[in-house]
Amino acid sequence: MISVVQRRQIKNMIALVAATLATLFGLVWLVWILWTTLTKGAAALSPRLFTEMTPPPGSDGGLLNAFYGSALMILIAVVIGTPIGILAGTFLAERGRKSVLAEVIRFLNDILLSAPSIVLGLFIYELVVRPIGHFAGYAGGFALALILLPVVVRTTDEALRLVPHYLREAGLSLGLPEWKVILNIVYRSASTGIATGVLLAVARISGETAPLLFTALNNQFWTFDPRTPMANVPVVIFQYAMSPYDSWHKLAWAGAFVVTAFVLGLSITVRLVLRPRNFK
Amino acid sequence: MSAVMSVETEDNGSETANASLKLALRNLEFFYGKHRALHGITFDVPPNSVTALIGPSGCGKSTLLRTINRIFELYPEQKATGEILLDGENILNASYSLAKLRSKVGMVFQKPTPFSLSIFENIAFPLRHYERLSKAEVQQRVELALTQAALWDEVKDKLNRSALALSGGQQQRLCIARTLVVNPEIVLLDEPTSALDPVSTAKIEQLVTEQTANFTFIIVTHNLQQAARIADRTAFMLDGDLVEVGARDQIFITPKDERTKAYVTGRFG
Amino acid sequence: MARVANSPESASASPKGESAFADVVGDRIFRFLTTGAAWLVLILLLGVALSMAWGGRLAFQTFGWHFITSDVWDAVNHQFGALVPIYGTLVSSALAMLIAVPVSFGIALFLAEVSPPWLSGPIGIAIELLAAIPSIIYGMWGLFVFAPFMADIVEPWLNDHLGNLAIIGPLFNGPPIGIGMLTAGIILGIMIIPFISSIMRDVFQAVPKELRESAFALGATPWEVTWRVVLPHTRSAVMGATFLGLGRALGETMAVTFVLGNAHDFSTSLLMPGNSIAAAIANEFTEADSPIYLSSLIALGFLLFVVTFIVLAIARLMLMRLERESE
Repeated sequence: MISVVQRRQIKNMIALVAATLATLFGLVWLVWILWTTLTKGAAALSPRLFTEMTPPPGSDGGLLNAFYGSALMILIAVVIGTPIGILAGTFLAERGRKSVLAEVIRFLNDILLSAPSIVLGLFIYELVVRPIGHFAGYAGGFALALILLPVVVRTTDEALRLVPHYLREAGLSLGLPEWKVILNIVYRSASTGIATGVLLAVARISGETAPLLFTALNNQFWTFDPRTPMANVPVVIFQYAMSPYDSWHKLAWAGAFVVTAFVLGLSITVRLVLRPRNFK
Repeated sequence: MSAVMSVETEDNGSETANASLKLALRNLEFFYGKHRALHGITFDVPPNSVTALIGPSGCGKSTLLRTINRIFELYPEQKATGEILLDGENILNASYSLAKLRSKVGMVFQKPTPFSLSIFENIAFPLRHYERLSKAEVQQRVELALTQAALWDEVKDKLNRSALALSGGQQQRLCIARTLVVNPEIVLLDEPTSALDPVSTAKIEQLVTEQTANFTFIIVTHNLQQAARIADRTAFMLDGDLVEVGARDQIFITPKDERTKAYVTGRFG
Repeated sequence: MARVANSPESASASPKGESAFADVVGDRIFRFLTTGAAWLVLILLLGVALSMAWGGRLAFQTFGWHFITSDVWDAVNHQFGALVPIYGTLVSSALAMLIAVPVSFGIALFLAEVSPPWLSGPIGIAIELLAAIPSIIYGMWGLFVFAPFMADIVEPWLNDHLGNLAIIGPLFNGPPIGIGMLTAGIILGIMIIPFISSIMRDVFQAVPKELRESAFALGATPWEVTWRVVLPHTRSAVMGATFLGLGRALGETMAVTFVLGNAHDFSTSLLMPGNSIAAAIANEFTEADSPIYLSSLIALGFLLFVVTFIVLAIARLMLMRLERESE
């Protein structure tokens, strides 16, 4: 006869073992995916990746134009989204949690943050691509900015709210105007938090594919001009992977490897420097 | 000590027109929302003196201090009525410019608040906001402020290091230097040494005493011995009332009010 | 009285307080900028909703409610019905939740009660790396590695052992090609594990120590503490985490586009190719050669936006208490 206590112990053991298995389950997938990316990607790596253009079907080549396009679009996104995001985050932090308007904007910002990126891409399509009649690199930049924006708003809001109110009072007590206090004192104090937010947002948009399908699309050739469709790594990966050509598959894996290495490297570095908990 | 002693009176320290008054509070009331935290405070501060505000937690001494530079206006539910006359002008008046007020009244907080800048920049930054000076002049003024704050010798070779790397006592003296550099007339200190070790506390008390020649100090303190050590006048507050004001350590030796007596003898804290 | 001023008689000193005008202007401009930026966030969200509705209006006007109930997707005859993608989105997300929610709970439990302190950090980071991996990588891995695995090993097994059972049989009866709803649902589930588990973990950690400690003091086992004390206390936040994961799953594109198969025929079998709203849009956008085709795709986008908005709003509301407590 098992006693009640023993039965409870058994239940407990089962539960904890199940929990451990669940964790292993999660880790197994992580390892499997990373291992695949590593092996298939490393196999396809070569210096040509960074020196040659995307090739026609069936041939070998590189991803140079795709790297350039992605870098440019990410840059556009950061340049547009960061200042707006920081300013909006400042607005929210100034009002704290007591203002109804601030809470509403925070609420909607959070929804924007988790919204399907494909929908955001469609929005930019309607807003920019349709009127101008063709795809464009800078439209891709806008779409990425739209994904980056809510992340920066949220992390800035939280980072600024962590700055002790004493610091603001000290600045204001010196007779400095509010804008100087915020720009020179408060922002500086929260700079690590804000920078973290921006970098995490960059990590996120670096891998985004869907919104670029409707904005920047792709370009087989080299172009400096963001007003034309531009090659970018995620869309190239998408098209090459879906194609029937082995050489294109190889390139897709190489691109996947580089993107993953970049994104994970950035994420880990940022989290080691500071421990942000907002990864949603 | 200049001729401050001669204006002492028996009651709550209010006097009729005295031209050498630096600060005069008349019937000051303060509200946190509906709650009345200060009850008709009337009180004088002579120039170039050290006035200490003492009293148990929640008596309103910090609240009182924070009315003088109107820092409470950051918080919409906080209001003050009555008059605070600085050199005869009512600073609570909406038309009195905040910028002007805060250029004349500086504040040092309980927790040291160094900016995330270098030691030098902490002081130079607010200075540059007020005055257009050459690089050499800025250097001079920074050195002077740090000397007045009894910090110069300790930081003179590391002016470009971050202020955050200083010890707590040094940071607080840096904050004092920062406050002094813009040439205020009154310096408010809100329990400036409560978080510091005895050595730093002694240094700060000493610099306050020395700088009375240049500034008027009002210090809120929990530490009765500190008040006895450095104050020219001590005001005891309880539950939003100004109970008693006395010169030097008179309030500790011969308190006139029963409540004062109970407080200074440690009957309650 | 003599006052040793802090400054020598510098004529360059500006009168105190006179710089106030520039300060006020600066303040006004700054306030304008921050307010404008905040309103921009609001306007953008509104813009997304409106532009989707606008772009899809042709489809909505043409097909009306049939758009949602019809499974006909015929580009040649300009007949579009969203039933297959909608169904696919819901089923794949449901599958994903079936996997992700218990696993996430298990991970949160592990980190709270089993893991030694030195292990919690690395494991926590490892799980969150799952979230950092771009979804297109999931898609590629799904297409080249996981789908073949499903086709060769899992699906034949399912066909043999479950395909003939009553009721659930038809679910598992299908060609073992690896591409299909089941594969997509599993990949989706793995993808959203970190989103749900990280919130659950935060939630469990936010429970007041005294609550847990008193339960332990009464002799409860770790499992009982979690199940009977912690979970009830964090109920709404846990639901919020679930809804957040659901919101993510509904809108996920690249992880499933590769392995869903872009089918336009309705099928009950999980082993058959299917479609989801996001995958349909991604796959066919560049092929849309008529206004009605394009409008139908955008209309799909609008539907997706509305559904995810509602789910995410519910999630956010449920998580509000957790946010308050952690302040």
